[in-house]
Amino acid sequence: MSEKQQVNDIDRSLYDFKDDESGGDFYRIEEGLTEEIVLQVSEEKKDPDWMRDFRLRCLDIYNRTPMVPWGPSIDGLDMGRIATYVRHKGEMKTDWEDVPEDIKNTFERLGIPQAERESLAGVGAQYDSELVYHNVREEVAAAGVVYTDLESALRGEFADMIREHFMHLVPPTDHKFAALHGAVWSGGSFVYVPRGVKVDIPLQSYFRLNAKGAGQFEHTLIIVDEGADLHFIEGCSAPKYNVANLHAGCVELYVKRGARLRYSTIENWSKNMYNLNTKRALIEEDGVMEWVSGSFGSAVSFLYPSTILKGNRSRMEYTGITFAGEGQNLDTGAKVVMQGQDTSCVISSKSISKSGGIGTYRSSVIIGKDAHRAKASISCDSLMLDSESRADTIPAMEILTDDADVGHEARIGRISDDAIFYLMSRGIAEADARAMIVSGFADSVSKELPLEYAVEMNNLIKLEMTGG
Amino acid sequence: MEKSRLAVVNALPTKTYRFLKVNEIGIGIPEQATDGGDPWNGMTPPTGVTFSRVERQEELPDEIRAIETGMGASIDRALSDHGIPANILTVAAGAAIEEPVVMPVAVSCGSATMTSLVIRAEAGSSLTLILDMTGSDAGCAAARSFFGLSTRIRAESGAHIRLVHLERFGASITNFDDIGGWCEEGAQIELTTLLLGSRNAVKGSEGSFLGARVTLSGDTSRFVNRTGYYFGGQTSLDMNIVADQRGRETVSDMIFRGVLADHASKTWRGTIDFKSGSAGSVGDEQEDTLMLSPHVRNSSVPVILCAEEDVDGRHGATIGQLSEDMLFYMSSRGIAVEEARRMIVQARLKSIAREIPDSRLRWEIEQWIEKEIA
Repeated sequence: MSEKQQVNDIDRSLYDFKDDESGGDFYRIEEGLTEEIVLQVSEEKKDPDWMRDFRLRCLDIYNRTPMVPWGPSIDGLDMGRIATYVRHKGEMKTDWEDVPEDIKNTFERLGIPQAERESLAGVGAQYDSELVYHNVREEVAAAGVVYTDLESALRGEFADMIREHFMHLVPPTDHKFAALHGAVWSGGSFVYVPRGVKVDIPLQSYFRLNAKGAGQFEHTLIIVDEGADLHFIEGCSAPKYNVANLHAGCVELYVKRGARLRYSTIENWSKNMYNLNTKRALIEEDGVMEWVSGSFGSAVSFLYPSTILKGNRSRMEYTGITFAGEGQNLDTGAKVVMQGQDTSCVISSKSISKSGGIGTYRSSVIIGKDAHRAKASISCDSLMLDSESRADTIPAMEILTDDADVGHEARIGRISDDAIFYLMSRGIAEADARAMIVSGFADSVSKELPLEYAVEMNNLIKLEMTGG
Repeated sequence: MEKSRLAVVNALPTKTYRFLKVNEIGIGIPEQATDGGDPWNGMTPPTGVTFSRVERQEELPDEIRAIETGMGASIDRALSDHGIPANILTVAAGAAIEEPVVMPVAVSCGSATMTSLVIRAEAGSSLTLILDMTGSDAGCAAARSFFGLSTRIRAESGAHIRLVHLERFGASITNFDDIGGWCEEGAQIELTTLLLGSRNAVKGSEGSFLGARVTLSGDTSRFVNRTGYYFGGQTSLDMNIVADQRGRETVSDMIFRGVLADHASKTWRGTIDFKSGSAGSVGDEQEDTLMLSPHVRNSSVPVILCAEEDVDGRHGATIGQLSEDMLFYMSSRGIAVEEARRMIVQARLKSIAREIPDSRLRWEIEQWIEKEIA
């Protein structure tokens, strides 16, 4: 039983197709990061003055901020070779038929229009640095739900709201790549769900980075007002190149009193991607934040959705899975700061490492001195599929009040020989038995996703296990 | 104590978020710190044991100097820089020393000393060494003291070393306890540490620092750790314990059980590190921290690093107050809540104290627990 099966690399043909940018339909700012480039991006975006000044301040912070001394190496990322802004020359559309043919084909192949028709309340599709399509169902818009691109919101009736919230939860001083994001951000969505409105079916943004040697820096800002309810899904993919690409997006989520937000992500960037994304949520009294996260792609990931449980009785759940295969170093987890009384959080993380992949679970749970009766439950399970890979768990907890209740458990191990033997004794081939066990291991995440996405996630796991 | 030099110690084997301030810590080593003197204090070694001494750390054999410790190389450098001699205890091959060797260490008021111990357990030998470390509270509040202890253990094939560190220091002492172990095939190091901090600590004490790193180099070697602590007043405790599992079928089994009261603070780093080649190994670390005051601060960083498929690594932690269910159960049997609370807290420490293999010391420690945690 100890003999290992041959596991091939994943066949990513579903995601690994690319559009030729050389035909003159694309506008691309030169590679590198200078004040001139930042001003060029600002001009392209037709920024208000405050935003242009903000970008320049972020650039200054970026230049002064050292890289964090922990986590995977990003030595392969040279900002001098990253184009921070690439866009198709067409404008954003609200009708699929008006989207340029090549881009439309890309999203058709990814199944986005079909998903919109069948199971979504609204869709945003970003291609390289700009949104190419944004639409929301009439009945959802009629309920007052705003789902639009951030640039439009920045200049329209929500301008003050954007200015009040933009990069306040994730200030540019947070870390080097938050500052980078502030300097060159482009694209992304703004969602506002009015008080008491419950959006029954999810909204989705899909991010596609087609350009070689480019970065994507979309900003997602969601405000779920008092008593409202939203499920937001984000998906992302890119074709594989032999040069580094960069994703340094930023997600800021405001969950008001009694509101609930579920934020689901299926991340499937290509394996030349540096995914240095920042996500943060601020939860008010009785608010609920749910993160569901599946990380499958990227060469290197730094991804730790963080939650500030500010209001009394606010709560957070994080359910995540990371699958690190050949050439991948995925450093993922969650952060939570509990400030309100009677707050609670449940963190459940799974990771799978195979074919030399490195999966690291990293987290922090901070319970403040006023967070009386706070409860935290953290569990992380890691599965090693071979001895060429690595699985590390690095959780940290800081507790400043005596009436907190914190439980933590972690386990690292392999697939049980007994379980494989049991399945094989019932006529299931070893490879299938392994795939079944890994799918079962990931079940706690997939069952939290809408059916279509759970199927996609299970397919990804199956592809990773069998080589497609 | 006048001038001191900062040493960075207790570094996590892998770094994490800086804002948590747990990646490492600094400790001031007084420039005038001197040798703590002859630790054997004229004691006649039991048959099979020899005591010896080298005047400089640099004279120690390479295989001893290469042993990594929990607090790290800064402590080795401090020992060298201060010219601290190394005291070597050698247990002859095959010698099974049944009676524990007890070594009392009394830190005098206002002193600044460091002691270096080396334990060489030759193949198949066994020994229990108890270090009973005390200081004085009374009349010492104004004069700050410093005491550092470095212990390096090399357990050859099949050797079994049991090391018991009892620390009952006074109010105004800064102290470190740095341990490094190396186990060859089938060897075992058992470490029992009871850290009983004073509730009367004065400003100026940097607190207590404990580091232990045991490298399980040989197949089937084992590291068993039991740590109990009680810190109250303004005291602080900083720990870094690492099981470095390299051989096949190695075992690490670590339990940390403690109580924080008043304004005490504690940082605990516990790491199980399964290196490539450690197939069939098992590692388990369990932490249980009781917080008795709204002013205490607890940081915990339980790390598992894994580069081997065929291993089983586990960690569990429970941090917070006494279990309401337990209190209710005891109340329902006629025990007053306060009495029940006292019994549960004491029991937590006594469960570690029970591991002390010397009946007189065990009784003394149990008395201390009953008196201090009343």
